Order: sequence, then C-alpha cells, then structure tokens
Amino acid sequence: MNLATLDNLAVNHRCWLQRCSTLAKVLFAAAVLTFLLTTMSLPFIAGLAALLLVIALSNRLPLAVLLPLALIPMIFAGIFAFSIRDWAVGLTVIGRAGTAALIAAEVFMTTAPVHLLGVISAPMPEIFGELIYFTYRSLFLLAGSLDNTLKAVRLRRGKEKFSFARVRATAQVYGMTLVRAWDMAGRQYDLLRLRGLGQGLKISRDWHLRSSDLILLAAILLIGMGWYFV
Amino acid sequence: MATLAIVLLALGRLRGQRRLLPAVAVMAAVALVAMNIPLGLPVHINLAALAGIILGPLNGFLAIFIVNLLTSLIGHGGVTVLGINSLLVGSEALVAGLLFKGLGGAKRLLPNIALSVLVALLVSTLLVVSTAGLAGRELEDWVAHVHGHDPLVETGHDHESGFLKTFVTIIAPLVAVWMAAELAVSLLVAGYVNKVKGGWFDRGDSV
Repeated sequence: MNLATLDNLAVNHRCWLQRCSTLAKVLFAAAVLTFLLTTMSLPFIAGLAALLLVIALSNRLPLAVLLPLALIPMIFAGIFAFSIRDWAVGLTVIGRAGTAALIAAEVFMTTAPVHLLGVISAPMPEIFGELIYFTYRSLFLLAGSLDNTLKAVRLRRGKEKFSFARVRATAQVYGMTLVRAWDMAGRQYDLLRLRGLGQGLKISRDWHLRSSDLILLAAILLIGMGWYFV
Repeated sequence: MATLAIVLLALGRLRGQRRLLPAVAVMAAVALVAMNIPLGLPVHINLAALAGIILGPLNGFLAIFIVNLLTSLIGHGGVTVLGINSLLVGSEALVAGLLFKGLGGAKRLLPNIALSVLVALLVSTLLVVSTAGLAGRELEDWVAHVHGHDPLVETGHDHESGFLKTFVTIIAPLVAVWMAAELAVSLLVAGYVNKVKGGWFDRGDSV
C-alpha cells in the first residue's frame, strides 16, 4: 500500500472519472456496493468486475497499482471461501470482496482526498472531519521520516531474514515514530489553533453535479439492468 | 451500528477535549504506517491494543476506526466490512485500554501492558472466531439456497462445525504468529518509549 502514489494519482491524474463530481462518484460507488451485496449471481459479479476494469483502463489507471489493492481483500475472503468448501459460493464471496475493493480504489485514485474525505465525513459530527484531515496530514509527515529511518536501519543492518533482533529493531523504529509523532502532534496542535482549530476547520464540500456525471448515471443504469436480468 | 455508536460516543467525548484530537490523529497515522513495516513474517501488526493503552479505550477505538476507514477507502481493508472490522480490531483498543487502567496503569508498566495486550488479543481473536461462526452459518444457508437443498442433510456431515474447523485450522498458525509479534512489538515499543521519555505512560490524559 503506497499511499503517496495513490495520493499523487488522485490529485494529478487527468481522466474522465476525475472530471466527474465527488458526490456522483461516491453515489456510484454506493450503488455498485448495494448491487454487489444484494446479488448471489456469479456471472453478474464477473460482469461488474469486468466493467470496473474497463472503467479503470479507459481512465488509464495503472493496473499494477490498482489490482494489488483488490487482491488483499480477496485473500481474506479466500479463507472464508476455502472453509465453505463450495466453489460457486466461494468464488462469489471472493468476487464480491475483489469487486468492492476495486470500486473503492478507483474512486480513491481519481478523487482529490480532501474532497473525498469531505463528502464522507459530511454525515458525521464536525470534529470527525478535522480528525480525518489531521490523520491524513500526519500520515505523509510520518511516512517521510519513517522512510529515512528504515533506510538507515537497512544500511546499518543489511538485508536479513526473520530474527528477534530484527523484531527488536523494528519495534525501536515504531517507538521512535511514536515519540516523534507525539511531539509533532503537540506542535501541530499549537499551529492549527492559530489557524482556527477549536472553532471547527472549514471543510470545503462541493455538492454540485457535472455533465460528465451522466456517464456514471449510464453505468449505474447498465449495472442495474444487469443486476435485474442476470 | 455498534461501531457507529462507539465512534459517536468517542467523538462526543473528544469534542470536550480538543487538545487530544492531534494525538488521536497521529496515533492513527502511526498505526497506518506501522502496517507497512515488514517484519519478515506473513502478518502485519496493527498496534490497536497499544493505541488503547496510550490514548485510552474510547480514543483508541476512534483511532482504529480512522485507520480502518482510510484502508477501506483504498480497497485494502474491505469497504463492505468496515463496521465489523473496526469492531473486531477496535475491541483490542477497548479491552487493553480498560484493563491497563484497571490494573493501575503505569505503576507496573511492562507487566500491565503485557497482560492488557494479551487479554485484548485473546478477546479479539475470540470475537473473530465467533463472527466467522455466524458468517459460516449464513454461508451454509447460501450454499443450501444455491443447490436448492440442505447439504448438511445430504452428506450427513456437520458442515457448520466443518466450516469453523477449517477456518480455525487455516487462521490458527497465522493468529499465533500475529499474537506473538503484536505482544512482543507492543512491549518493546512501550519499553523504548519509557526509556526515551520516562513517565510518559503516566500522563493521565487518556479517554
């Protein structure tokens, strides 16, 4: 999971999905998930996954980034699928997990995080938006410092297999990251208080639909017909 | 619904203690980046129990919910199981946070952390198995629906316990490795932080 790559794509990648409004993309994802969770048809799930792949290809989203994201939930679902010992139901469970991950990742990769998190946090109390914003901001500050620390550890220790010493070194990296993060939290708090923390950060939310959203509406209708007939 | 209720409760408490907001946020960020550090094992740790100990049970749960929300948004954590995932992983924060406080907090730091984390991991594992049992029952119904008959009756096997048995057989070695790694890393991190910042676990500002 390389969040920096995803963030870069979400902000800088130019494609038709990115021109659609955030609200339309979230509604599209919600519709896809609803259809997905209310079907038991394997052909429908396969068709939906294929359609999402076509959407990804038509938006020139890098499959090398997208597909591993869908793979992880499929592995977890695979444990359930294997335990049930019925290939049809097993494949459906795996297909559902992969397709749900695919739509979530596609929306994330084509929507500026600040807009996406703004829409998602809308039904929650105001403080939730601040919390997500803070977390996302901290993530990149920490990731940068952590990368440097891990590089230093690797240079010092070289490439090694599993050992207690490695776990201990890793734990020290965690500890250092935690201490740094905590200090950073204090500084950030002071800084952001000057910028309005405590009165609620202003989160920009764009509720307007655009003409390019019609493609998503057409896709929802297509998927709905597939859900009904297949 | 249970996850949402706990999150709303935690947010309500946090609103009255806004100075803890950055702490919750950076703990969530630490847990997120910690997932990406390779241990050389087929598991990753999530530091949920440690989050509960550091931030307190409710704030720890909130931090874990944020982690799960962000990972589910990129497909990594399963967007359709966000609620149950948060409840299962967040239970580690709730149990560890409550137990650590109940045991007297930082008075006997490492033994208290060890016991809190261990119990939290056991509770979380039990919840995972129970949830899998319920999911297995639903999947059995689904299989019966797909085949138009009840496979339990046909084969004479107890499929539900078969499901759980297979599930537990698959996850048991992974859970054992994960529990050992999570416990060891939590203790080592706490020991390190205590050495670098003595008395840090005695702050008393957790919720």
